[in-house]
Amino acid sequence: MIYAIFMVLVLLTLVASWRGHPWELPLFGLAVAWVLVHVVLDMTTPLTLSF
Amino acid sequence: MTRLYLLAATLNVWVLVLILAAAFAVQLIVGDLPCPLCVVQRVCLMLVALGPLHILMRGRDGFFTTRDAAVGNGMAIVAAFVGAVTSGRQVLLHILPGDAGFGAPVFGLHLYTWCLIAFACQIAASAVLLIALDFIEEKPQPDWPLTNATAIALAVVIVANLLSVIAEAGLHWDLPPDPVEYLLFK
Repeated sequence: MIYAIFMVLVLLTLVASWRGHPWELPLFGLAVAWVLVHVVLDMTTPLTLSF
Repeated sequence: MTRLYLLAATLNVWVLVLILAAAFAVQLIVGDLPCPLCVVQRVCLMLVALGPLHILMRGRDGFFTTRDAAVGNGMAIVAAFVGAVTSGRQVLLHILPGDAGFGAPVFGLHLYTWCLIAFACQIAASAVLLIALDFIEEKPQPDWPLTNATAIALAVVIVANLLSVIAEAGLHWDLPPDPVEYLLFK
């Protein structure tokens, strides 16, 4: 489900961009930061996400 | 020059949409389900596409500013960096001699290796587009006709991937490391 949430966040950002809503950049920042944290956690713990 | 810039941003989004569609086609035709890191790379490709799309959306009303273009290219670079970290991680997981890699190779390289190349090219392309801002004149422009179609194409490919990942993960929080079936239908 976490990957579905990532994609919903991307979709919400797209909708905000379409409407020129001020939440576009905060949503984008949240999505990018969350994905980065997710990947870094994968790198720093025993293999769980991969391969 | 401004219209050339908007054309470049449009092509940028369409290339990313085609990459996502190709990965989806491999999933459906070959039956190769994406692993968790593969799905993260797809999310990163979507996030990258939001950068040039930002440029198109802000230029939609007929006034294109270098500030909007700089923000859009910055978004693309940041997302491509995260994507490169992810695909680089997966390349390194399979770098040992004798490791067959994950999934079927396409044109001799695995999809995550192609992804790493794509993210590197995106960073370079966005940097070139930032440099090209020096040639842009900020003045009212006629509407760019491809904006809505481009945004809709991206939305369609995101929704398709969203449905796919819901089917693949079922009600589980995470995906199995080596998925072989759609857990929602199990």
